[in-house]
Amino acid sequence: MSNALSIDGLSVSYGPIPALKNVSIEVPNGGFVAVLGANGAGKTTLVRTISGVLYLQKGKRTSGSIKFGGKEISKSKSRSIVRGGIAHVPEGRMLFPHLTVDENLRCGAASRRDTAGISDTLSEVFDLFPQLPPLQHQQAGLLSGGEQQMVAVGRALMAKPSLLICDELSLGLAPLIVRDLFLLLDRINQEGVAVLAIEQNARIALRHSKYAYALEVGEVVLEGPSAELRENQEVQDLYMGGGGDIREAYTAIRREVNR
Amino acid sequence: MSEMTITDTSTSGSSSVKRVPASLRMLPFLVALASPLILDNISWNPFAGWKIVVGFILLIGVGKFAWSTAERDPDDPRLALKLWHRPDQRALTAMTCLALVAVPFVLGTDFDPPMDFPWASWFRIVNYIILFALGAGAFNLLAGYTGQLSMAHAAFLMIGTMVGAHVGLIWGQSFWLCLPIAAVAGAALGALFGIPALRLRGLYLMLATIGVHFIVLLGWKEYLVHYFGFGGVRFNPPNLPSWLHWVPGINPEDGEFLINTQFRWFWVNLTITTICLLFLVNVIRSREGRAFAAVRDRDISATLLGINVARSKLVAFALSSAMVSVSGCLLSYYNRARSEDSFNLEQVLDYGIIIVVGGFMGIQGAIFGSVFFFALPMYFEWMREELPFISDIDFFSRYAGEVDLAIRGILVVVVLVWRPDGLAGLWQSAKNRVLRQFQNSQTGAAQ
Repeated sequence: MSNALSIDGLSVSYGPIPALKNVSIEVPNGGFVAVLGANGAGKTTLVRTISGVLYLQKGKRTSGSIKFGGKEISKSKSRSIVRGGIAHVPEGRMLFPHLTVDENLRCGAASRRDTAGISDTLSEVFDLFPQLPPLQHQQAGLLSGGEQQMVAVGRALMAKPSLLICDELSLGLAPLIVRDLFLLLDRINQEGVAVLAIEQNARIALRHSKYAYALEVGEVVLEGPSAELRENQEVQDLYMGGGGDIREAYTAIRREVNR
Repeated sequence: MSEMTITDTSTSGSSSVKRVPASLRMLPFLVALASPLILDNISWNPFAGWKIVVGFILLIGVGKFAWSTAERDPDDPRLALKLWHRPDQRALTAMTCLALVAVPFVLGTDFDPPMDFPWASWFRIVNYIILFALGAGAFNLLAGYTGQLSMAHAAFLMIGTMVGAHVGLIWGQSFWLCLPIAAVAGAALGALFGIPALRLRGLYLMLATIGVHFIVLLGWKEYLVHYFGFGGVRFNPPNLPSWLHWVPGINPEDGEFLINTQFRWFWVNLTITTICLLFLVNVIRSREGRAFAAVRDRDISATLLGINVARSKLVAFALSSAMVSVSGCLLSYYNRARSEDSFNLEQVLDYGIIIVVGGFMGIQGAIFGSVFFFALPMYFEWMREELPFISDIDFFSRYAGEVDLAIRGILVVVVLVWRPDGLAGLWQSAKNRVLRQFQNSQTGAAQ
């Protein structure tokens, strides 16, 4: 299977501080890939580099290449990257709070020129998120977190991407809503859109993705099919709060205290 | 506007949309616009009993008619971008058209209200309201809608005036040619002076644009001294182009029809302001306009969606400056005289007050704001001079101008504390409340 996105030996630094060191990640066509990592692991730097907005944070790519559909995009402007088919759901949703839901979604199609097609995509997005049509004339800033995240995903879909990058979809949302959102990502993925999910919530990310990478202080420390990683003791300890051992640890502490 | 194609309802598959023939949909607006012909022929005095009744019935009738021609499917995403698609919007627009065209006929009568309430001098105020609505609307596009706080707008008034003086007086061309040239000059210089906005924002941008103001001010003074001397410029009243002389109500004398009365200026100002503001409203509804708002709200997010932030900022600067420049040209010809101290920074502050009081979001705020800004002082002046008890207070007559300014200041504070989204927000919520009650009463009657 050919790769939609392949990142090869990417290094990024903010001034003297390195943020990514020799990172190589591949997303196959129509694949669902997760990138796990704790705070400061370089997840957001990674997506910003892919989307070409690194310069806004004064970051610099020092080496490596990013190929999308066989074309080098590491030097492209963000708008040509979006037009090429990579859409980005930014961390913390970043909706336009004073615009209505409808206008927010239409902003997502800013890179497109086919007016009639935009309206069709809008109806498709409304079909995908049946909660949104009643809210379409409301200000986006007044919606709940889950609804805002839906708008953010819908806005990214308005660009008709072939690769959807979701940065911290689960941030600040209730577990049930996170589950619903990931089920939606599955649906979007089944329609042929490749998904790259950047997540702290390793449990749900590994359940839905097919392949996963773990980032640690800017380096890929672990990679493999998600099903395998889920069984991996190291992953469980690092990202899933120690898996089944937590009760044992707790009782051990209790025993220690009582003594 | 490319977005206009969306408004083609024939492509919409929804059967719940009530289709109204295009000719019928325009009819209420045409009736409203044609009414001056009727009004002109019956020597309109609004306070002559039955004529008030007729006018009122006409107003309600046009409104109801426009209401009935609306498309009925508010949830259709295709209709969301449409101008005046909801029944209330259509009715209010038609009624506003009618009221606006009636204004000069009503103000043109020699009606003398009780208590020496000024009548004919309202004409001047109305003309100023219209002209400042154009400038403030353009300022709002930049400061309110795109979030670029620019203090250079008095400079663009100067540029419009300079173009008007040079093309109209020195080159001796027609006034009507000055307007598009002023727009082009304003757009070009606006894009040039917008370049700092690519790096600066907020207060920093404001300071940089104050710098621009003083650069242009120097140019304006040098220009005046060079071409017109210290006395300033005096503009001639423009002549209506001869191809418009067929219009009913226009009676040229010796082949000339000079725009030299408040009545005639009203129509010129109203037409040009309406065209420009409609253009701005259409820009706001388009992809370009959404990009402006996206840049204001979150420019990182806008970049991520593929919006060219730099281009959006420059286009906003160019558009806004072009419109302000047109309004500067119009204002100069309307005022007939401009001197070297006609343009100070305070004028930008006036625009600022207008849009903050009127409401930041959208062009509507600029209109409400300029009514507030010009009508209230006039009203205060009358109260101060004519009302018993108030006119006796010595303090008010001694500090007349300051008292007006202070009252206006107090009202600005009151409006903003009461409704931070300004008079436009107040109007919207009041309208929504009335509409909701109306809908409730209708569903109640149906049950």
